[in-house]
This record gives sequence, C-alpha cells and structure tokens, in this order.
Amino acid sequence: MSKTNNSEVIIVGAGPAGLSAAKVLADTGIKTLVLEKTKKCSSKNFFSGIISEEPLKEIFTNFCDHSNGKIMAPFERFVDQYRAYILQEDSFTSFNVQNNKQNSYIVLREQFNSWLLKEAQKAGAQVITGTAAKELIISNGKVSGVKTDSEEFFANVVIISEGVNSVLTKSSGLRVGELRSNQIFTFVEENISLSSGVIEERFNLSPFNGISAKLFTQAMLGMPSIGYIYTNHNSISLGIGILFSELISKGINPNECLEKLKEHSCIKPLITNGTTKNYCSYILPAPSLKSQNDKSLKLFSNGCLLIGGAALIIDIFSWDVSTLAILSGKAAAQTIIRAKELNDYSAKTLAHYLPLVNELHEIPLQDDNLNMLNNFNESILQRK
Amino acid sequence: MVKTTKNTSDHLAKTVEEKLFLIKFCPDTESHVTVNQDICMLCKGKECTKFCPANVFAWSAINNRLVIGYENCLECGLCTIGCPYGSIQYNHPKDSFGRN
Ligand SMILES: Cc1cc2nc3c(=O)[nH]c(=O)nc-3n(C[C@H](O)[C@H](O)[C@H](O)COP(=O)(O)OP(=O)(O)OC[C@H]3O[C@@H](n4cnc5c(N)ncnc54)[C@H](O)[C@@H]3O)c2cc1C
Ligand code: SF4
Ligand code: SF4
Repeated sequence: MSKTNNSEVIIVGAGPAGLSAAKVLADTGIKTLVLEKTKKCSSKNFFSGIISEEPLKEIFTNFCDHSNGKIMAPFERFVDQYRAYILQEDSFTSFNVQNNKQNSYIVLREQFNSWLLKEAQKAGAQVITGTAAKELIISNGKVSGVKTDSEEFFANVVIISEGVNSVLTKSSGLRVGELRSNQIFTFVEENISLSSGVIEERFNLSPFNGISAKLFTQAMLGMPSIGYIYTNHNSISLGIGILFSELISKGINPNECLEKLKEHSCIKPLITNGTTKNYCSYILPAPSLKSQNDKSLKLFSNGCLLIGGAALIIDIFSWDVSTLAILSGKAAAQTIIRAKELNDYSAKTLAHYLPLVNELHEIPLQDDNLNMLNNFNESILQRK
Repeated sequence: MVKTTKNTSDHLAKTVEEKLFLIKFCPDTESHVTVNQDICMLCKGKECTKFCPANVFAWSAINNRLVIGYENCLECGLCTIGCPYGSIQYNHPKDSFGRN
C-alpha cells in the first residue's frame, strides 16, 4: 500500500478555497499538493455563480491581462445588474441595482475552477484529481498526512477544503456531531439552455452583460426559502434553497419546490422553450448556525486547518458566496507561511488563523447599493 | 384521461427521474450509502424516501427493507442530516466513481 509521498502542505479539495490557498503557498515556494476527488476539477459542482474581482485578482494575478485589461479567466457574462424579484402567490415585483463597476462576473464553476487549478499548477502546486482523501493520518497527536484508497501522503500541515458536505471533517473529529436539519438550507439547481439572444431579450440585457437575481418568496409551499437566477452566456441557472427542517416536516421533495418556482408567472416566461441540461443539489449552512456552532467546530488542530465551506465560512446572504471561502484560503496560507518561519506547526502557531478568520466576518461590502439589497435580504428571510 | 394540449416548454425536465437521466454517472459496484435496516424497519416516517433530491431511497413493502439506488446519488450529503434516527452512513464514492 504505502508509497511515501512528502510535501510541506496537503490541501484536500480543489474548490475556490483550496485553490486560493494552494496558489498563495506555491507562490512563496512552499511544496504544495492538492487532492481532488472528482476527475475534472469540481465537475460535480457544475453550477454557476458570481465571482468578484476582489480579492481574487490579488491571488490569481493572471486574472486579467494588465497590458490591455482583458479578463483572462473564463467567464460567462459581466454582472451588469443585481435584481431582486419578490414573488407573491400569483404576482410579482422586481427592482434592479445597476453594477456600474463591472467588477464581478458570472462563471460556470467547472470551467472557472479548472482555470484556477491551472494557475495554481503554473505557480508550482502539484494537483492529483480523481483521488479522494479518506482519512487523516495522525501520529504523536499531530496530523501528519492523509490516506486515499490506495496511497498515503505526508506533510507538515493538512488544509481541509472539502466544502460543506464534509465527510473528512466529521470523521476526524474537527466537527463534533451532525449538523441539524434546522441549521441548513437544501438547494436544488437546474441549468436550462437558451440562445444568448433570447436571454438578452427576456432579461433586457446587452450582449456580454448578465444579471444575478435573487428570488424572495414567502409562498413556496409555506416554507422559508430563497431562489436565484444567473444568466450564463447561453443558459440560465435557476435554483432554490429551502430550510431543510421544514421540507422534512412537510414531506416535500426539493424538486417539487423547484418545479413550483418554474411554474410561477414571473419565472415561466423567462424559461419557456428552454432545454434542461443539468440538475444538482447542495447544502449551505443557515445564518443562525455560526453562533451555535462555535463549540462543535474546530477550525484548527495540531497540523491541520479548516477553510471555506468545510469550516462553514460561508454567508448565505451574500451575492458572492465564494469570496469568504477564497479569503479563508488566503488566511490559512498566511498562517502556514508564518508557521514555516517558526518551524512549528502545532495548534499553538496555527491558532493565528483564528483572528484572521474573525476579521473576514467584519469586511465591509464595497458597494452601498449591494449593502442595501443585503439588508433587504436579511429582513425578508428573518420574517420568513 | 387523454392530454390534448401540448406543452410549449416540453424540453424542460420536470420529474426527478427526467433530470437524473441528463446526468452522467459512473457507478461503483457497491453502495457508498448504507443504512441499518433494523432501524429502517421500525421507522414510521421513512423521511428519506421523500427528501432525497435524487429519490435514492425507496421502501419495499414486499421485502420489508429500504432499497438504495445509490447509482443516482448527487452527493449532496443531505441524507445523514435528514434521517431522524442516524441510520444512514454516507461515504464519498471510491476514487473516480459517482457523479461525473
Ligand atoms: C444562492 C447561492 C449562491 C451561490 N453563489 C455562488 C457564487 O456566486 N459563486 C461561487 O463560487 N459559489 C457560490 N455558491 C456556493 C459556493 O460554491 C460555496 O459556498 C463555496 O464555493 C465554497 O468553496 P469551497 O472551496 O470551500 O468548497 P467547494 O467549492 O464545495 O469545493 C470543495 C471541493 O473539494 C472536493 N472534495 C470534497 N471532499 C473531498 C475529499 N475527501 N478528497 C478530495 N477532494 C474532496 C470537492 O469535489 C470539491 O471540488 C452559492 C451558493 C448558493 C446557495
Ligand atoms: S434511513 Fe432513516 S428515514 Fe429512511 S427509513 Fe431508515 S430510519 Fe427512516
Ligand atoms: S447524498 Fe444527497 S442525493 Fe445522495 S442519497 Fe444522500 S440525500 Fe440523496
């Protein structure tokens, strides 16, 4: 079984969080290995999403070509407008907030993550795909590597960036107990193809521009929920998240909620004649979780750090959910760079990660308009 | 009853089964999702048969056991949270098996 493989840092999971950490570490010459369970990077999380230029372009410096300003990362459309739809039983209202700064992008995760991965590789990180980490290797009370189905890998530090469905985090005892059903939202998303012309006409957009929309509804079969639409180049992504405990107690399948949404008089005309291309499901922690969970989740231990979705460093209200994940990856990398200087990877040194994470939750949004929408967001959800 | 009106949006998938049909899976020969059948037998609600977004779980009354169609699993991780009796064990599919 065990071939020995040594690196300084092992990163489990090539999502935005893990790849940001990998890039920062590789840039400083630290020998970094990324393990990703899917064959193509993040192909299971095919869905689309919003990526903000900050803080990504500081980490991935090839994000745009500095000589002519051209964006080098693969993206679908600029976010031209943020839109809120408020859906009532059979009517709706909507309002727009213009994004004049052209500083955020709609991306398809599979393409975008593959680009992040290549950039991390170019910086010197080693990446192995199609390989899941199954167990942490612990010796003398310190995490010293990971086991896969067929091999063992060793390092000074392991960063866990496996996302919210965190099997490794649970099995290693960094998260004690299972999340409860009233602590998570369950999301289902469908990708529907439409020609780019039809998308521009239906959403009133000029070419290359897109919208990021949130759908607020109090009438989704009587359950707290939040929906969203992203316009990709020639498809749209339509999704809805429902408080899981409500779904269970009402005995409803999440797909029923998505179908109800598709039939709504606001949504139906937007997707008519489209073709369903893909379907996925994922979970996100509910906003109430953070404070309750502090005791049951450890963000670091001897030789190990937790970042991104696995650390529940995610803000469900945000219009750009991966920024926090990316910043937590950067914070972990900075912590490790410091630990290397001290040649001490114990919990004592890695504890420097905590204040960096706490700072993340206090970062102000750059845009007042977005702030306004977010406050609106929060008040609607809390009212149910 | 005969349906006479043809839906204009007939390329839009509706049911879970129609949607799963669009996804490429590379299933392993053994399940990465397992349950304790003794617990399931006593479970009244059979919640998992309703909430799973891929309808992986079905109750077979004839065999008196839970049938697990793990081949369709979307790997979201809901089931371990949703089963009220902790009967479900979820592991990632082995290496490159599972959803593609
Ligand atoms: C309404 C809504 C909007 C959203 N909008 C956006 C958005 O605009 N932009 C965006 O980017 N995201 C968005 N998200 C979700 C967002 O993707 C996550 O919060 C964020 O990506 C977390 O990043 P991560 O790197 O921690 O985890 P993930 O992106 O989940 O990546 C984890 C990676 O680890 C791999 N992995 C897991 N376990 C193992 C293992 N044992 N061994 C090896 N590999 C493993 C997985 O295959 C995956 O590639 C949105 C979500 C919602 C609900
Ligand atoms: S898995 Fe859980 S919810 Fe499903 S039948 Fe068994 S005990 Fe009941
Ligand atoms: S992980 Fe998700 S899709 Fe797979 S069986 Fe569990 S609930 Fe169903």
